[in-house]
Amino acid sequence: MSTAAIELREVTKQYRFFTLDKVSLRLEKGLVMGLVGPNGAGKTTTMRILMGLVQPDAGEVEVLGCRIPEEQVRAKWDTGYVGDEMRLFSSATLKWHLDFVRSMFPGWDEAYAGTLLKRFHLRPEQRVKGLSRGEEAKALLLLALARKPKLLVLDEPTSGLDPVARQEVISELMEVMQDEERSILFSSHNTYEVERISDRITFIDRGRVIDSDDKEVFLERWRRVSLGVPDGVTLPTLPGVIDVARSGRVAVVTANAFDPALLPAYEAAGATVHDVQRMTLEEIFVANVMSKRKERGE
Amino acid sequence: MSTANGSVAWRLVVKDLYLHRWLVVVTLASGIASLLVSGIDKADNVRTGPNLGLLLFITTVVAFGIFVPMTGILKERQDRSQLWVLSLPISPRGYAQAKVWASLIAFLVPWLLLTGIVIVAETLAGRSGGLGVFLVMMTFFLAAFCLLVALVVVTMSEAWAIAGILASNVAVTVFLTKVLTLPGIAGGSGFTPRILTVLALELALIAVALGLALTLPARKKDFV
Repeated sequence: MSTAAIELREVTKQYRFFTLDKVSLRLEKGLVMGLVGPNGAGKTTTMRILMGLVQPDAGEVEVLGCRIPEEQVRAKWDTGYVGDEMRLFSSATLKWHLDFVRSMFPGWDEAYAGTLLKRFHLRPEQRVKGLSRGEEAKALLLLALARKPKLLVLDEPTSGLDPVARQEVISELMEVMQDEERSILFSSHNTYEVERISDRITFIDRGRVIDSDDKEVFLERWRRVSLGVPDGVTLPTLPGVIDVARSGRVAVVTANAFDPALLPAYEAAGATVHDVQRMTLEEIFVANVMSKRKERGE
Repeated sequence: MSTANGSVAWRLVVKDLYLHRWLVVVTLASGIASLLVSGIDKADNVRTGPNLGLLLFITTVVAFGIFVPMTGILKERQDRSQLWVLSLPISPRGYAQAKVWASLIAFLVPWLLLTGIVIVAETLAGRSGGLGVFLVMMTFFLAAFCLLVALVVVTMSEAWAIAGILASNVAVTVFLTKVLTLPGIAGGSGFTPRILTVLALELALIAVALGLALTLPARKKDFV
């Protein structure tokens, strides 16, 4: 039995116009993984497979040591899942939802639920149909968090929220992360959010995992180097460099495995190093996606 | 854990019954009102009271049989609250079965009460001869309801549900004009062999519909 909170091995799911292609990823217990990808990359499909709502055509899935979909019910007792498209019952009140979930989970933390109600400015007696999108998203998160699950699977939980609501949700998640036993798989378009809360980051594009590593390793190994390149100088092809964009006498080199030895190598070829910049996660994500698509000839 | 699973499924059934509560109350009120109207017999040639009452009664039961699967099963999927329910410790199979049982119980509450009221009232009035035909009609409505539930829970499709509703409306008309007028049923006193045969066929249809509704969704690979 796996000690990982989540493990997918070579998971494939084929639809008419989309294929999740041999996706493998592993999230250790106590860590937060950000799943980043453009629209239609396969983030939601991956999460629905984890929750047993969609069955893969091939591959193996384990959540908290339970085989999915066979043992999904056992896994779900300890897993809180919040999806972007998920909604509560519009005709019922938030209090009814709280009572409903409380009656099901012996580990429900009433005091914490009360704290979250205040922090999120939610009124239990309000009907769901009267809640804004942001309030409903916070209510969904509250209902998942107060169960005190060992694993949180959050599919774009801040999508469609205004900046204040987004900040409230992210702050709460950062507090949840203090619990070292709890694991979180978090998908978002917003790389700034992912960078703030994730320990590990997985990039997914067009149904394939294109890169997965610790956040610090990502930020450390990706660099953008600005070079002055006199006429007649040809830049050498160096390991770890995935893109060279040249415009006149200036070239911008993107490296996904930056090594300081690159700089003297370019200088030896006749170029001048102007600047070496760290890249933001968004820049890394875009560069990664573009280079992998180029590699595959897409 | 299996007890816990059963407990979650049962809570989902109770949840649906709670969400259906006003629909049940309105159906009961409308059903009782139509029975009262049907008792108003002014001895006019067209029997306005009984005919209007019967029409209202049939409309009430048929409409309720449509509302329950449409609001309890299909709307939950369209509103995306199904996704939230499926985040709870229940499998898609358990969820589908809870939906079938909840729909059935919700329908049976007014169905049993209204049927019981008619049986008691007719027996007390010494007019129990038509009860066989009445039971044939009520069991037909139950069978049509079970078929619609099976169709909705298996396909989870609005288009199929609408097709099912149209088909069941046509079936009601055919049933009232053709089956209930068959010799041995029309004007039949008590439970004639033909009435018993039709009842047996209806019960078999109910068993098949419920069997399909409880087993087929578990074969689906994708539930959302």
